[in-house]
Amino acid sequence: MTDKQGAVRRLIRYLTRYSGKFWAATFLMALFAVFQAILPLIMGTATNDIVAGNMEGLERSVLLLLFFSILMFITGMLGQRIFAAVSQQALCDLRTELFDHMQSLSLNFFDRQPIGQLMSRVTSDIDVIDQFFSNAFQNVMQAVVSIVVITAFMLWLSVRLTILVYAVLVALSIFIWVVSRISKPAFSVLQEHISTLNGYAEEHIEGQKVVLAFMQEGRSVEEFSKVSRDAARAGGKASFTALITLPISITSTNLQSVLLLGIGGVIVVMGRFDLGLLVSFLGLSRGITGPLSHVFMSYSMLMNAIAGAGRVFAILDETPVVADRPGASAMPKVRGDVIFDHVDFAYIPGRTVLLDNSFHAAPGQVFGLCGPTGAGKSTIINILTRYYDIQSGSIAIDGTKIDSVQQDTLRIQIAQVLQEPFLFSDTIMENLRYARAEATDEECIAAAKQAGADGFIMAQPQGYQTFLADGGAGSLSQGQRQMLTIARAMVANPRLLILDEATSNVDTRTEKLIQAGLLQLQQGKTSFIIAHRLATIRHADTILVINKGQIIERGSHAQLMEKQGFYHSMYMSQFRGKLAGITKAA
Amino acid sequence: MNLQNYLRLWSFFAGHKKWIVLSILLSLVLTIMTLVIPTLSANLINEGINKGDTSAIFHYGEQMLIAAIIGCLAFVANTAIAVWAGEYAAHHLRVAEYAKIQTLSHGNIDRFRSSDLLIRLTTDVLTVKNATIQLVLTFPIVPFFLLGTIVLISINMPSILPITFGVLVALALLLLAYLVIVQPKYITKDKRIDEVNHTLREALAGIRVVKAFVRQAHEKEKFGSVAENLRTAATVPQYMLAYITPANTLILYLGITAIYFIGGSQAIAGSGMNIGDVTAAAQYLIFILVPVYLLSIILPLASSADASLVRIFEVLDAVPEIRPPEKPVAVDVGKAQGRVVFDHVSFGYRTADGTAAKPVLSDISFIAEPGQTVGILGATGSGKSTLVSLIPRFYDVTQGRVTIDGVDVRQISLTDLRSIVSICQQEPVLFSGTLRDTVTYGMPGMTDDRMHVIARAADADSFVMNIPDQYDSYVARRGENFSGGQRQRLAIARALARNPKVLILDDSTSACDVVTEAAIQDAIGGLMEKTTRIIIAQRISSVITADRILIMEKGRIIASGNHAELLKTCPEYQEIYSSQLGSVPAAGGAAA
Ligand SMILES: Nc1ncnc2c1ncn2[C@@H]1O[C@H](COP(=O)(O)OP(=O)(O)OP(=O)(O)O)[C@@H](O)[C@H]1O
Ligand SMILES: Nc1ncnc2c1ncn2[C@@H]1O[C@H](COP(=O)(O)OP(=O)(O)OP(=O)(O)O)[C@@H](O)[C@H]1O
Ligand SMILES: [Mg+2]
Ligand SMILES: [Mg+2]
Repeated sequence: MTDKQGAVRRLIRYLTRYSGKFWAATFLMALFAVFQAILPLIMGTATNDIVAGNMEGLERSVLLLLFFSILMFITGMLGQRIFAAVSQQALCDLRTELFDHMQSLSLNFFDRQPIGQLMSRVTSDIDVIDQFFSNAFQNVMQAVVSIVVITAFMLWLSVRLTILVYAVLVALSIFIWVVSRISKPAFSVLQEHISTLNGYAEEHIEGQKVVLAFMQEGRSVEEFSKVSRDAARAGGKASFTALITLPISITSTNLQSVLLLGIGGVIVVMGRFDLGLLVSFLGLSRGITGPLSHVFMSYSMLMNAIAGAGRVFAILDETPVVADRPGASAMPKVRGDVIFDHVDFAYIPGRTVLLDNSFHAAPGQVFGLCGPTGAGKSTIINILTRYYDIQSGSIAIDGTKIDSVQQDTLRIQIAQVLQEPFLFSDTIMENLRYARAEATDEECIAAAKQAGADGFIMAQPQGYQTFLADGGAGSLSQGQRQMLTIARAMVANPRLLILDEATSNVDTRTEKLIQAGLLQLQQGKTSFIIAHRLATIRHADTILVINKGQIIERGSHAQLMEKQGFYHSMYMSQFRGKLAGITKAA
Repeated sequence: MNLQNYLRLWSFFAGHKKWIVLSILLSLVLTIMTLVIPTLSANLINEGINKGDTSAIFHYGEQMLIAAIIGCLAFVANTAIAVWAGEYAAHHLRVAEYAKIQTLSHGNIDRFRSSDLLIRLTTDVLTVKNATIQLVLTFPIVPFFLLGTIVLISINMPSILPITFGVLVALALLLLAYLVIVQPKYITKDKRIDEVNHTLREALAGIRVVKAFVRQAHEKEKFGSVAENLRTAATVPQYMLAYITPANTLILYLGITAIYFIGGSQAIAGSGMNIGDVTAAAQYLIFILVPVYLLSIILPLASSADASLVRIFEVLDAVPEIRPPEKPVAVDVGKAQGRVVFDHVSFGYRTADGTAAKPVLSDISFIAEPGQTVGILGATGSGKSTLVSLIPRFYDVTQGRVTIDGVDVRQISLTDLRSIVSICQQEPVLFSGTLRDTVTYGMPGMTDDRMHVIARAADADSFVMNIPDQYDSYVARRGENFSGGQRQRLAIARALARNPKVLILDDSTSACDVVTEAAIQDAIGGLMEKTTRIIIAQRISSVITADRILIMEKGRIIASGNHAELLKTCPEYQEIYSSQLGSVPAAGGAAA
């Protein structure tokens, strides 16, 4: 319970940040509720005036009715306006805070959490909080005010009748409360089914081409149909339990009238109090049951909001695993002296991926990395750029340990081309400029030319301004996307260059073009190049051969060939069988 | 709003329409019960309490109780029907739409964009569902209630009819203002929500790139601005509503005040209305508010649902670009040879507006014999992937024809065609599930033995067996928890599992080292001797043993032959060779 209270309090704090407006809105809405409660009371006095034949009194009551109706309109309007402003501002704060925090988290957080799930934190969870803010919160506040005002008035009129009204109310409340309790779990169940449904749809629409190629349409529709049916069932339960509160609250009001009229009527007949009083109480008690049932209806909203807020706060409370040390200094300008000293690493504790790796790259050197798939090449890059922290050993650049400086100041000096070519759904120009915000159009175009991408870019309908829908997935060839990521890295103009299989989908002749550009870029910079196509790294100063997480050979191409070890056999296997002999002879 | 869309939605309820009719009846019952209760309570007061008649009190109390319970039951039953109708419509629309999407061709998907399809399948269906529930639940009540109240007033108190109509007109105007002014703001808000979602998705999907280039501040600013736009867009309609909701109450109270003043004066003067009439009239006015209030809930929902229905029906009405043949030529899949012939094929992608764009492939002709391996080398963007996507008919040729065993692929049923041809696409998209699910994706229910054989051929078995849970290990979405080469090998295994007659590997070993690649190729050769293999690659080593190698440039085949021939005759090939494997051996040597 304290947990839930904590979540609610924390949510409210987002509102009270704007304390001036918040309290003004609260005050106005309380006034609004007071006027709303007063109006039926004036109608009561008007009735009495009519019964008493008091024309003067009636005129006064009518004027009061007019006056308070207008006041109610003004306070209600102002209160709702200000509250809307505050609550939307609070939601906006929450959204941006959540977004900023997610961005600060380390990659292993994203390894664990599917994007779809993170998306629903910022979308559907904030949505339920929105509903809570814009409906439930106001309802509850108004209900409290109405109940207090009306009860006070009822007590002033007749204590005994008030007790009767409350006896009936308590009985009804228990009834509504029971119903609303039952409805609670239905919503979290629904939430789960909805995320399963969305997840399935997202994955299979993105992969529709695969489904088609493997003729699994039938099965996939069947699976989807099942997921959809489950979601519909859960949705039915949740909607039903939510909607049922309306008939129940209406019926409660009716039952209350029956009970009051029945019991009260008999008492009146017995001569204990008069009819006028009973009729007034009938009206007054409706003034309580209405708001009260709103509160109960808000209950499930509140529960949803608490659950949503809990999930949102769980992310906000997550601390980045790879964090800057307090007071970490900025990385000085990198010369490019990289030292790996007995480095061990595992993504998942206990499952070592890299074991005891050491090497030294001097400034300006080109390092080639090769080895079987899954050997750990990309992993070396991941820890050099400090996406993950190592378990033991140390990594230093220019003698500075990379975990002692601010990560951003390190990464900004490194340009990477990642193994997965990722482009944003934006124009080609903006995608290139992504590497360096202040790059001019000319610089971006120059980089594209260097990367050999200018040709196909100009062939696109709008040249550099062509919009890449879905990150270019539907309109560029795989190699073209890789070339754009290379051009993007060239725009960065970094101190250290990393290419992870950057040209694997690019043909050799294009690659030669790119390499001429890269060579210019690499001038005086330390570079790490991962490639399965050995020609790509043949000219590297040092080639590291990695197998099963360890560097098993190192040296220049010539040295490694001479050694006739792992590298040599990898190299020779390119010629395959019969042809191997020919080249040896040549 | 377009009634057509709702009629079409209605047609989804074929066979279940009786429930909707029942719901309308229940709404009628509910309306009558609601209207009857105040009359009964007036009777209870007038005839029971006023006259001191306890039995009358119990009599009318009992009737009120019965009316309340019948009304409650009708309401609950109607709620059940409404919820059922909403979920029924949602489920059927969703499945119909999904099934349709699964039949769409690559060209359709390119133009729809998958991200947009997803919204049509989820958000839009949800909107229709909510609208359906509210429509069924409350729409019939509106006319019933309105009519009922007016009839009651006309019978009991015709003198307040003018005030009633005044109130009604004022409320209706307010509702109109709401629909005209506020409703469009909600549509703007929905657009802003889409923008927030889009920005968020991109930033999360590209988190590595964001971090690599240290652009968190940029993303923050971008998100901040879309979030700010959303805030404005969400605040605007709420500002307007802040006028409208209290204004409803204000109008109501103005009406009530008028009644008290006019009716009260009459009562005091002893002419026209009496006190009972005045209180009853106030109650009737409150009743008038009900249908208007209901409409203010339903109409906005209905109009956004209308927009969603348009988008959903657009998908349902999309015509797959690839039409199955009307009279397919019977092909015995088991006995197919897999001889693939390209006969003067040209092709161009269609642009977003559906018109033909400039050609990507021109005049392609070649033959791939059963059991042969055809390698395709060529510049980036030269059309290699495009070329092979014509074989399983992902796209249709614009000119010429592609045949398998002499039959035009456009005349083979799609099921047969895609059983014969198996393609491993350049970008391996893996689905989440277990490794077993992944490998056996195209052949569910394959035996474990067979699965091991297949996985071994794709060189995936060894690394899988090294993971603690082996084939039961979890594969994350898109296979993100495996290395690039591991993903590719899983995708190859998936393609092999179908035991195809024509196997296409589109740069499928680019992330594998040469040793692995050689092992895979040899294993495939052994496993599927008679299968026609078409291998796209960038490395000479991938195609060096191929029976025939096609060199592509700018959508044309500029040379073809085996390794030795090309090395002798094709300058482009020589260049590729020398850049990858060192100097080209002397002409005589190569012939040996
Ligand atoms: N995010 C991750 N979480 C857990 N395990 C991972 C993750 N990324 C990679 N691995 C595992 O770590 C090992 C090394 O992977 P890595 O990506 O470094 O290989 P690689 O040498 O780059 O291979 P490739 O040439 O195929 O890209 C593999 O066994 C892989 O399954
Ligand atoms: N879905 C598409 N819609 C429109 N144009 C496309 C589409 N897919 C590819 N293209 C364009 O068609 C041309 C050929 O692309 P294709 O993917 O066939 O090249 P590729 O030879 O496979 O290249 P890579 O070696 O880079 O994979 C390219 O210029 C590309 O931009
Ligand atoms: Mg890798
Ligand atoms: Mg391709």
